[in-house]
Amino acid sequence: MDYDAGSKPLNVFPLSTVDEGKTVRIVKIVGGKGLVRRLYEIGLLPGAEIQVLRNDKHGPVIIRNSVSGTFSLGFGLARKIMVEVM
Amino acid sequence: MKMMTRYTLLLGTAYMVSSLIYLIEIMARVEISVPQLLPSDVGMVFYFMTVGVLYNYAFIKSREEVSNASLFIALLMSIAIMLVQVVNFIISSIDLLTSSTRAEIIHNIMRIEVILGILSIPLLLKMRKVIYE
Amino acid sequence: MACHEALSSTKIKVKQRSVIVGIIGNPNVGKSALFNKLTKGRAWVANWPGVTVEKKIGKVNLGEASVKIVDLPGIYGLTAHSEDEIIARKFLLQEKPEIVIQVANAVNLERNLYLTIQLLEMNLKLIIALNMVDLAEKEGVEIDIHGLINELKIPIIPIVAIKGVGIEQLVETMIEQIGKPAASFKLDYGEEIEEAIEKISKIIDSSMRKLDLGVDSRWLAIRLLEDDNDVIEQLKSRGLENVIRESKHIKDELEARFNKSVEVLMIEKRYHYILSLSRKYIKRRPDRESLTFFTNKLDKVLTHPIIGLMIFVSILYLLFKLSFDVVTPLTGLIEVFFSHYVYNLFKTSVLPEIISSLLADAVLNGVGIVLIFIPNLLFLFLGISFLEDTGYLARVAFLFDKWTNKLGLSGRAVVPLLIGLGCNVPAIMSTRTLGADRDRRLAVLMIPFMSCSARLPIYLLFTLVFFKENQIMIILSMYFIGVVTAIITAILFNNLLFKGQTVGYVMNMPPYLVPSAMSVLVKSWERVKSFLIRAGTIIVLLMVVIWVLSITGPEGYLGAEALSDPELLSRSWIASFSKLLEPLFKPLNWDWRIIASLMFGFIAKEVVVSSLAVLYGAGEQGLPSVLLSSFTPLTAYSLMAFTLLYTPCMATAAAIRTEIGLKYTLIIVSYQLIIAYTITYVILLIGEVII
Repeated sequence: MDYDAGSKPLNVFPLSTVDEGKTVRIVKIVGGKGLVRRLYEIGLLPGAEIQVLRNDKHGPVIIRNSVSGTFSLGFGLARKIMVEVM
Repeated sequence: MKMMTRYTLLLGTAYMVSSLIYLIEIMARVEISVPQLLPSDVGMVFYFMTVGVLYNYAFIKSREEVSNASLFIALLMSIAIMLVQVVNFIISSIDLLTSSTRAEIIHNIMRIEVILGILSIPLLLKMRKVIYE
Repeated sequence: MACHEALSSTKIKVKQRSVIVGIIGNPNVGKSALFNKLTKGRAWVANWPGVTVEKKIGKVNLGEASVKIVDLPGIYGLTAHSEDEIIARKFLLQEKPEIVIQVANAVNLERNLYLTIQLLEMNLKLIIALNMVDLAEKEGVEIDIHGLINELKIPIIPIVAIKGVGIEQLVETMIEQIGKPAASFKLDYGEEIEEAIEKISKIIDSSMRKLDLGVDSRWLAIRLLEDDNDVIEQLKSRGLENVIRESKHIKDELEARFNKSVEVLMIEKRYHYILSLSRKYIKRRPDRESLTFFTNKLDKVLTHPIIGLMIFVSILYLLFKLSFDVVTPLTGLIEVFFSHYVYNLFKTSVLPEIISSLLADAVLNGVGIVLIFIPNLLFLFLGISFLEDTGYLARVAFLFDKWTNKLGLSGRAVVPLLIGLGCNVPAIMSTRTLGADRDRRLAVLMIPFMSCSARLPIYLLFTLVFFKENQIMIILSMYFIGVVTAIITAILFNNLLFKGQTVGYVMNMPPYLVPSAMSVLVKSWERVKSFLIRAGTIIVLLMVVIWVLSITGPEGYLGAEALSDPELLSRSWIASFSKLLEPLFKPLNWDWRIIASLMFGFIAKEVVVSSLAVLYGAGEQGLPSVLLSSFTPLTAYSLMAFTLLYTPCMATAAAIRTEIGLKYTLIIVSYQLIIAYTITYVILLIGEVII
């Protein structure tokens, strides 16, 4: 796993739209400093790979990252995490 | 494996049938069965239905991975309600335990959730071997 | 035997002194388990100064040293942005612990290393207790511990806290480390940032003669680059605005160059370092991962919107059945023992009447009220602690978050709110797990509107007399009114007081674990004990006050019989206050006897019924007929609504006070009185229009 955001993102969308079972990579977090810091602190930064375990597209999302562990993220938060498919 | 799945179906059906009879008795105001074999209140009916659904789902999807999870949860819930009923029995009949005959005691504690709970134990033990590889 | 000699010589070297050790770590890594193992039950609970967060302290003798062990809140980092982080930071800086033990989760070590780096940068003497190594093995995680020790230059001890594995070695290491100097650690943040740190450090060094903050200028420089509010405040209070200004200037330059916040840049640098550590010393085998695999499978069922919800409702039912139904014989036993046996003992003693009444009617009653909660609380907390330790409650929060979010609450508030339907007291106490202050305050505001089982006797009595055909519907309508009021309260306070404090929620979902019986028992007992001691004293005091106000009046002492004699009681202070308030309640059509009963209802809501019986001069048998002649169905219904809403009972108020503080308790009580009056009045208005 590499934490560099890498090349120009072509297919980037919010985490809240990703189907269950898919694995995605974080590209950018669109939010205030506080939000960015909190996600970064637990290891969810650009380059991190996350597996989407639960997502009904209207509510909180359960994701898993081998380094950070399993977390549930609020819907508002999930909309601010931009990811790309791997 | 076949034995396990049939056993699962049996347990699931037992819970659901017990709840259904209770509901029929309430709605039609008849008495079909012994109270021992039925849930004791409406909340328990819901509990039985949930557990029954979990067992039956595990049976239906017995080829898939999620079946194990469903079965495991159902087994834990069967045992949980059995334990609560046993605790209930102990607390409410501390005085009875000393005075009643053994037959009376067994009659009081042999309620459906305790019976089904006991029946679920061997299945849980079998599952533990599967989980802990 | 050489090792024994080595150990005893180590013991001799340690002088008799008082040593402070802090235990820190991410949430859910097993800090409490380690704390319990180290302190072996010799611990107590206090509050961190100025906040209502629990502080656990224990005392142990290690070697020759008397050690005070402090359990710090679970945090992911040390940037002083959340209350938990501020508490931990303050402790580390002000109490200057000799040793800090970081409990790290071996399964997600990388995430834990983030905190490690921040601790090392504070030049603290750190020992890492690498917990859950057994689970890490199951997960296929292999850690080169010796390599890490060499790299970070601090001791790392593998342990399994709940099983007690590795604890001895940890203790030995602690003893060894006492008196040794701390290792130095410096993370290279890259050329540009290091340059900025250099510049700011120089400014700090030249501006401050003697740093009394216990940290070096490099650490301060890093904090200033990160916009650390706490450090900025500290510097301001020392009159060092120029330092702040100049460092901000440097920071802005940096941010302009990178087009990114410096804080974010630094976090990324820290994770780059962690990644390099990970590549060198941590290996994962994805084909193993049996722990998370099983957890994920269970979660497919438990977080399913339909079946997951059904399972939760079933488990809640079981919890309630156990804590409220099954324990009734035990509660009955306590009640009989106190209200008959001991009561009569006091009443028939040779003490003067006023003393025996004080002891029997006030103190004993108060103690009885407190003790009567024990069976319910104990079993309820056993159940909740058990579910919490398995990790299940995080899933419950997830299930409900979609809806509670609309009220500005996190899904975690659901469990306390639902418990409130059984009894408000444990519900208030269980809000402790709702970390963020706002969430917790909101939940505490809502809980008293959850119709608890103590209000049932009132509903049952009134519906029996006035609404015989529709008993169940009417009672359900009470619950409905309660829940709706709670929801309105949430929306109201969200928009008024707590505006703009919503932070997106991030919740850790730990892998499912079989809880350790010891940990569940200890946790439950701690909670029950805290209620008994803290709430208990308040309750007994309030009972004495009410007792005084009942047996004395404007004329003077009325005698202990006043408690059961309506004529005497009507001359007591409580009666006088009630009569004074009568005009206020004219729109509701209530006379002073109802008001007085409601005042007595503060003791416990069921007491409203028995007070009505006494004040109306009827026995409990004669009460129904008396009620029929004094109330209409509409006023009866409005009285039911009022008792539901008006104030929390004494025990609940005491619990609120110990959890949130006196100020909020008074706010809540006043708010409830206003809402109760308003809604009751509205009910009357609507009722009169309909009927």
